[in-house]
Amino acid sequence: MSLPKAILEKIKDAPDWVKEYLKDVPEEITAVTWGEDIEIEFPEEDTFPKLLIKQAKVRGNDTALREKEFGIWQTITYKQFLDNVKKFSLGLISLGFEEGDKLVLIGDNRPEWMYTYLGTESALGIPLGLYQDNLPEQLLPLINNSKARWIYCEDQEQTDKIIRILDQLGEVEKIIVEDWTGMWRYREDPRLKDKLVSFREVQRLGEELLKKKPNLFEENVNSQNKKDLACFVTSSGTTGIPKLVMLRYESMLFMGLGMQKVVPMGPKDDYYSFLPFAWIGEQMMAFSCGLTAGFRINFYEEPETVWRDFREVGPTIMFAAPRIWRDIVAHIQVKIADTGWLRRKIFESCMKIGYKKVDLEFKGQPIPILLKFAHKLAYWFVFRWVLDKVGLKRMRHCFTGGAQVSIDDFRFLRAMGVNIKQIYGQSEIAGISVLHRDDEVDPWTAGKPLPRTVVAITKSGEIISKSPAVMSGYYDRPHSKDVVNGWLYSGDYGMVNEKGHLICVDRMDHMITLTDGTKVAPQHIENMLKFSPYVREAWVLDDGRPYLCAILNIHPENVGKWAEDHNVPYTGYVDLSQKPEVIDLLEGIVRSVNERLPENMRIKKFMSLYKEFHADDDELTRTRKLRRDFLRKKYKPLIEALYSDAREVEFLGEVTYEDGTRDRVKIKMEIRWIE
Amino acid sequence: MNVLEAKDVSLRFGGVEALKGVSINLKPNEILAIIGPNGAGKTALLNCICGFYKPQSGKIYFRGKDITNLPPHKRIEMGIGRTLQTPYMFHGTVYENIMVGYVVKNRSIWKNLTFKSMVEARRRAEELIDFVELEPYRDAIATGLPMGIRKRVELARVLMSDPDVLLLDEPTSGLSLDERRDMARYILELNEVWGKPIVLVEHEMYLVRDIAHRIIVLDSGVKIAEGSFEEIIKDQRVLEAYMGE
Repeated sequence: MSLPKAILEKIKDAPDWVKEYLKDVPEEITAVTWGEDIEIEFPEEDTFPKLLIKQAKVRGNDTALREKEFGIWQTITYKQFLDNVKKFSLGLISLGFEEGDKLVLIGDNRPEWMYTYLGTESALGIPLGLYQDNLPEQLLPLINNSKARWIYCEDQEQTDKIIRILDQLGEVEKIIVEDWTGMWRYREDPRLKDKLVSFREVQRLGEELLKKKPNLFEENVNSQNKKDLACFVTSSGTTGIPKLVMLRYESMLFMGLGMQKVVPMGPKDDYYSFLPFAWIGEQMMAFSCGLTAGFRINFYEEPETVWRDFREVGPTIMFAAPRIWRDIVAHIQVKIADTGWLRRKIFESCMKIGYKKVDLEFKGQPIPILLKFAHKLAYWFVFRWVLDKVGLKRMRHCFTGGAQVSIDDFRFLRAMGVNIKQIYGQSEIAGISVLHRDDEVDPWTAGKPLPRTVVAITKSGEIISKSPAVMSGYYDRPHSKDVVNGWLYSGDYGMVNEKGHLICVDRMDHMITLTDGTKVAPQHIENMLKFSPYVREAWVLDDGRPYLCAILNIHPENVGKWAEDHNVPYTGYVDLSQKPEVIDLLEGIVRSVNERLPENMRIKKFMSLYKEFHADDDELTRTRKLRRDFLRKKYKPLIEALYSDAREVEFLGEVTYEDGTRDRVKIKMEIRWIE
Repeated sequence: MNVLEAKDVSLRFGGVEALKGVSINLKPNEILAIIGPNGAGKTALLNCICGFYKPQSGKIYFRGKDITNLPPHKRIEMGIGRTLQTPYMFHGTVYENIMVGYVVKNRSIWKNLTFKSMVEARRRAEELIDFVELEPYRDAIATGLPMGIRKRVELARVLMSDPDVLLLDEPTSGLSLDERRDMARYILELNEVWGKPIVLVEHEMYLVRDIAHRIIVLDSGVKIAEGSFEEIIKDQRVLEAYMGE
């Protein structure tokens, strides 16, 4: 493909590898940007198990993992880490695990999850992590598509899910259960007798095999190299059943090493692993970065104690989705609102200094020395103490990615002196491909590509990227057209600004084109609506229509509290969501958002939905993104009503009562017009 | 041999006869449920067994030994553990409340001050916190907690003294559906895995049907039926006691 003149002009002085990559770009591009020209050298140990062996050899007695157990932080050294992986891996082999077998992991973040993952890789198999809050019927297609014969379940809860779909699963060799609590009766079930095995039992078998064949583990590990498959990862699944992304060690390590070129990480860093391991973001931090940089990985005690343990650890590196940052910001806001008058005033005046500083930073202007000094004072005397309370005091680098972050949250955290940066990426490119550099943070962009990575925009506005981190393909869809000539089609709509930063606007197929030709990115408007504490979810409609409408989910706790404060009696979510007072409240929010939008992008009508969107009903993905196509089908009558003259609409909806029973009832919902 | 036996126990408060010659026996590894309408004497019977009340007549045996005249704290030392219908929380954290249970059985002050026994107690408390899933509440003040949590704290506290027999007084009253399920699982695990015989006083018929091995029905201080769930629901007197004449 010949390149347009403007692009040729731009890459005149570019390094050779950029020109090389652009030679086989599959279609015409309108913009391009690339990362630093730094050679990324692969270490001699080019797979995860090899890296673990090396770490155990070089710094065997250093802390690799920490887990809170029995109320005390227990330390696991690299030697013990390797020992556990080795025993598990050999145990799998003595149970009949063969080269190329797939193993599915379902469970909370625990050291055992990592042992199983690395143990599978060193037994020459392929691990696949799935979200632990998936329902059985959501797990079924994924397990079957992966052809996995081995399943690791963390506890009874996960095992029960597998048992429920056992008949529909293909051949299952063994179900490995880590926590045997509540499982003492399961062995009596004839269907399960030969299938269930405890994690400790697998390790015990491994110990026996180790005595017989002491070199088997090393032989297996050394037979692999960076071109071999490291793992399967699920794609985000906004459009249907998540696809299975095949990633090689090369991709994973390239991404991890490339990231460390711009964000230095080392053995002194603490990482806190609390987002699902099934998410590529968590795997890339724990494995791609963790095993190369050698930082400590900390695990929570129970899912309920995540934030308490987070504070105790005080991590120095963190990567989380925007919803986590929203929670942290909301937590700080609520605590500040509850504190005494004097403290609140002090905090607010310090925030003013903070905002002044970050706004200059965002514009790329120099910061006056006095302001710098004032911010330092505010940080050391006020912010640091507040950050300590939420566990962010020691944070050196933290990232937000996976979805659009709210600009207001981003600004809030940066103003408090938290070094939060945006990143952009996807499972298909082993995690991330674009991130902010320390000195040029801009809330409207995702930053620059990683070293040795090229990102371009096609004529239709789609973001495409090329680097050694790009996946080898989808396991369950071998003929997909997402990778052409090594260029990955992301399905995201974006642009590149004059500084070479990537701006990711929204998913390509989510972009709304109104009848007058206006292009709207719904996620942007939805984020503006969601910044209000009273709106939990927002869904902006719709492609091919004359104007925009919105369907809103109220935030049950916050709106409930508001209703109590304003003497509005209600019974449950359904009732609360349809109270005229509540709809008035929402109207105010929509109006204030409209004021900040251009005339043709304003919301003309909205309604408050009788239920919350939920991942269990397939309305959201497990990372809380709207599944728009599904929603469009499910709520078709509502959309029709929004674009008619109706002032209210009846819908036969499913309702879940407090005691868990479900029922279908006709619900009347008001359509509020904003003149 | 019976672990626990009550023979012809009668208890009177002035003119009110709470128990009229009730006999029960608890076999090893058994869950025995005691059911009956309000005021039938279920809790009174438990109180006689653990020594809060002294019956006017009748004998109570624990492992074949007559304990009728022993004070309550001696009985706990021997290995009878009991929970209350409304758990009593001491002022302090959940963790401290559970630790109290250790002192009840290991009463030597000097021994309790040694490092070894402190480590042992702490380990045991943490194992029980893990068992009843109280990790998020470890350092919370116990008195303000919801009923479901307090019941779990109390169970852990009783287990701290490592009892040989557990007397549970309405362990699921005031709990939500999920909490009741959890409690049923703890009781089953205590019985089947830890091997503890359990006497269960309960109102919840489904729970009794699902987990009890044997059921005794009391009405107005008299034992009116005994047997499996299927047997007792066919019993005419049981139906009358529950449904009215």
